[in-house]
Amino acid sequence: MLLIRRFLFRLLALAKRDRFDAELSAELRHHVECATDELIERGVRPGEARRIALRDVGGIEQVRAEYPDQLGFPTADSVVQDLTLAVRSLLKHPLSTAVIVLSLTVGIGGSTAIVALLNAVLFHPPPLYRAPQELVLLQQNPPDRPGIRSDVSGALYMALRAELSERTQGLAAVRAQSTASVRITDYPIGLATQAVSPDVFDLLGVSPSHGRNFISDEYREGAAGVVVLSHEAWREYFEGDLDGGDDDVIGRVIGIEGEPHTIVGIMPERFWFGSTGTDLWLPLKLRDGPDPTRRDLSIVVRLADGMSQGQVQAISRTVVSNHDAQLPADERGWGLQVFPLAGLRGFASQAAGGIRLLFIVVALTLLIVCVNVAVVMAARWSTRRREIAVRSAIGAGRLRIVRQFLTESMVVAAVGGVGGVLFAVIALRAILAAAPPNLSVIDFSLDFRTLGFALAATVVAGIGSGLLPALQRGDLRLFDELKQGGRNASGTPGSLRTRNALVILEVVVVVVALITTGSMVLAYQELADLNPGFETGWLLSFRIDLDEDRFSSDTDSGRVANAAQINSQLTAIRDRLVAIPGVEGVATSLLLPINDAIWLRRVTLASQESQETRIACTAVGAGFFETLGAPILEGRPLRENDREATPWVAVVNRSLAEAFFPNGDAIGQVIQFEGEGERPRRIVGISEDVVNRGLTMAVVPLVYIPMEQRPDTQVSGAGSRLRSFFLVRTTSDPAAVATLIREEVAKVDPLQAITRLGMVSGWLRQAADEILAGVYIIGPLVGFALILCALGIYGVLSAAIQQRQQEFSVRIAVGASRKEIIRLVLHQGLRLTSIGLLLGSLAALALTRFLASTVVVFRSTSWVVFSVSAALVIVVSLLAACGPAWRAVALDPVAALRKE
Amino acid sequence: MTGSNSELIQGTLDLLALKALALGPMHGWGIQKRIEQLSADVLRVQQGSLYPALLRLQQNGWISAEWGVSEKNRRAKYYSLTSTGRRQLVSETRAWESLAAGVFRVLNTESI
Repeated sequence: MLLIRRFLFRLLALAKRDRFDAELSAELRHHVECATDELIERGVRPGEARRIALRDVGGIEQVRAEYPDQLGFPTADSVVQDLTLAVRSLLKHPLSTAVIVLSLTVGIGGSTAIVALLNAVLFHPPPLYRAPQELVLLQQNPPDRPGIRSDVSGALYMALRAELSERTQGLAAVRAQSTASVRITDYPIGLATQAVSPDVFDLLGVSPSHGRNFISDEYREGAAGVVVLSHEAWREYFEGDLDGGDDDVIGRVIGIEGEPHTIVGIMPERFWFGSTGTDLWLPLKLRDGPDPTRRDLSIVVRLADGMSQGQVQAISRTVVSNHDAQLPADERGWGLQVFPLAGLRGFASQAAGGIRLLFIVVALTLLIVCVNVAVVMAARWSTRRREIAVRSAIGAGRLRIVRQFLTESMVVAAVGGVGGVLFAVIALRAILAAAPPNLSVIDFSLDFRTLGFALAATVVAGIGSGLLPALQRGDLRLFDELKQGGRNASGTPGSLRTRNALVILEVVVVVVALITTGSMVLAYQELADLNPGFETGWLLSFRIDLDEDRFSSDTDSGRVANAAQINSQLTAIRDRLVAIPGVEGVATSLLLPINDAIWLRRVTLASQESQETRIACTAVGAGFFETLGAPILEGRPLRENDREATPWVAVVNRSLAEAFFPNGDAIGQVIQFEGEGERPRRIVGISEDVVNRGLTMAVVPLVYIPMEQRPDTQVSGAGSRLRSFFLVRTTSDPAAVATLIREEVAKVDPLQAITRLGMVSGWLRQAADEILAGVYIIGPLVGFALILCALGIYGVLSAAIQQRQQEFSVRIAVGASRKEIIRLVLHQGLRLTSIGLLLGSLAALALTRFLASTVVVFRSTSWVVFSVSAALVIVVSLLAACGPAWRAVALDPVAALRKE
Repeated sequence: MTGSNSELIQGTLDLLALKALALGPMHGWGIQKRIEQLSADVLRVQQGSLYPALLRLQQNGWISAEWGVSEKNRRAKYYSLTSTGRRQLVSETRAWESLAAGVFRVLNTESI
């Protein structure tokens, strides 16, 4: 109560400061008059009496000067005074000030740069959208796993459309980006495409910069093919100059997946939706019975005026539960969530782990900054205890002193903040200059949000680092301080402990950051070294999509792909390819072994007591393992003579063998896939693990079955079962062979389209590039963190040595050698470092384990990374300790002792 | 130097000012005079500390102030005790008495 009253009183006084001053003058005047009267009554001459009275009262100004700590708050005058004092005191300790300012600059600058990147990638819808705050994204999640975000199936989209299109400003669907084979000149090239529903461009409020949008006729099944190009793709692949007037691009026909498509429009520069880097947009044609389990549509909704996300959520929930009833039992229970478009889902799902990691590192960096500044400030407090004690003794209020220190820390924070923003600008330029191209599409300028972050970081660092030492002042005993001449060896034990703890914390943070980043760099290197479990040199792959009408037949149970017919077609192509000079081996595979989707099938393992599980499966042709160069560890590979009529067999990968047959008795076991026409298969071989879900994901247990030994499968409507891949290993330049491959395939079947023809290493690189982008972002930040850590150690040791000056002097005076002193200082530094190192390693171990379970970039927590990180931290902390150690030795013992 | 000029212990001035005001509203000069008179000129109030003390008491809500006209027809700021101030006076007096008694007892013991 009393505190509140005092506060209010001050507030009032502040508001009426002038009146208060006037009243005080009047009151003192009255006092002087009374005193004068009294003196005159005693017989003193009037002039003399007034002089004495004035002297006794001490002069109005002096009395008033007693007030400032009680009356109102600091006025502009005293703020200026504080500032001057702060600047002077900071300049008096240039070294520790430099450490603080440098920490703040690097820390605030580094984290601001990263926040700018994250801001651009995550929280910014592309600037072209109209009223992006009205846009929301609908995403599904598997039953009971709300953390996982998945796209929406076509069937559900149709259902949602029926309910939502009337009640909102509209909704649209975009199919997940995929690569298509596009023939612009002689060679088809793989371009990123997105199929979009009719209204998506209108809904987003972006119209083509040239040409036109799709029209509704073009969404009909069988309509002539049309395509809209991205500005970037147009720039890259077409020479035409649109602004020159001659629209030679609009209206041009290009081949996409073997079909002619007319270019009708070009989107404006930097337009993208969902994922960056889309080259072409095509009309999305939803067939009559879209597969409800194929979830590949992003659904974007523009909310009606005043509509909330919750309302959309509520409507959608009803739609989903109605829709659920029509699904097979094991596909039910998927949830549907509404997200604002700003946190773009493409990134959220694909790079969630990486972004989480980035946030962790940013937070840790900021923490280091605060700790650093607090450490140095606390040290400075300790060395200035005597000054504080004296000032308290002559009447400076506690508040006044705290204010002085806050002013000081705010001044350095402000300098550091400004430096930090400059640093961020430079750092961003450098990062982007070096970054792989997939980052450069996004606009990374500093906007108000990023600058706001920098400002907030500055204020937090300023206040936090100023208050921390001020809080410590609670244990300051004024008289003890004066008695000891402010020289108790190294501050109070309490403050010393706090500072040591802060530095240890700092080391922990840096170790964690180093190790996680190291693991990431290592993962990248593994990718860059292209060690996917097979030989990648001169290995080509291409995709063949067999015409569904020709290679499937309608039966009682629906449309069924005709396996025998497909196999004979594939064999015919294979025979042709083998004959090409320079071709060493050819093999077919149902899925691209590197990063294609997985075909999960229910299976019964004889060894598992008829227990059912789901296991990934792929069908491969004879010579697959040989062509790929994947070693067979045990047993035999699949051979030409594994035919439909011979006993059915399978080869499993090492992961499967280890997971399901830990006794090493996989060979000879029998597995039975569920499904019509399936027969029991005997495991005849174990192959080395080959990357099968992309390089960034862990290898999953996988069963390879012969192409010939598979039952006819139902065609699901998406035509995916009719897709096959070819792997071609060459002994000469693959580019030359590629041309011949096209010719030979055309000889077998002139209508057969080839897509995604390219080096396997190229597909692998894509995955590696994604990680590289992450390394480029995180790497510098960890570098900053390391610098900060060094500054922190340096600051703490410097302060400790300053405080122990007398102790060292005495030691030197009584004969301690310089070596011993150096050892003493280095020992102190290393003790902190090693404690931090130990704790940090444990924390990093836990963290990388955690990250490995979410992002498998961290496949291995390598001891190399641990030891390199540890060595780096030790070296850096030794370097940081060298300066203070040298200064301790360079002390002039006599001068230092005299200071007492 | 002179024993009569003994400085006031920190906080004592507040108590004395409250006591002086318990006798009725008074201005700063009057408070100073009252304290000196009541102590038979043993206690001298440092003018420089009286007004900050009054301000402090005012902040705490123990006294209130208003402008009035003095017996010599001068404009003066009159302070008066509030009800919380009165309570504060009682409790501080008690505390002071027990403190003084303690000190006195100690001094007596030593003198024997």
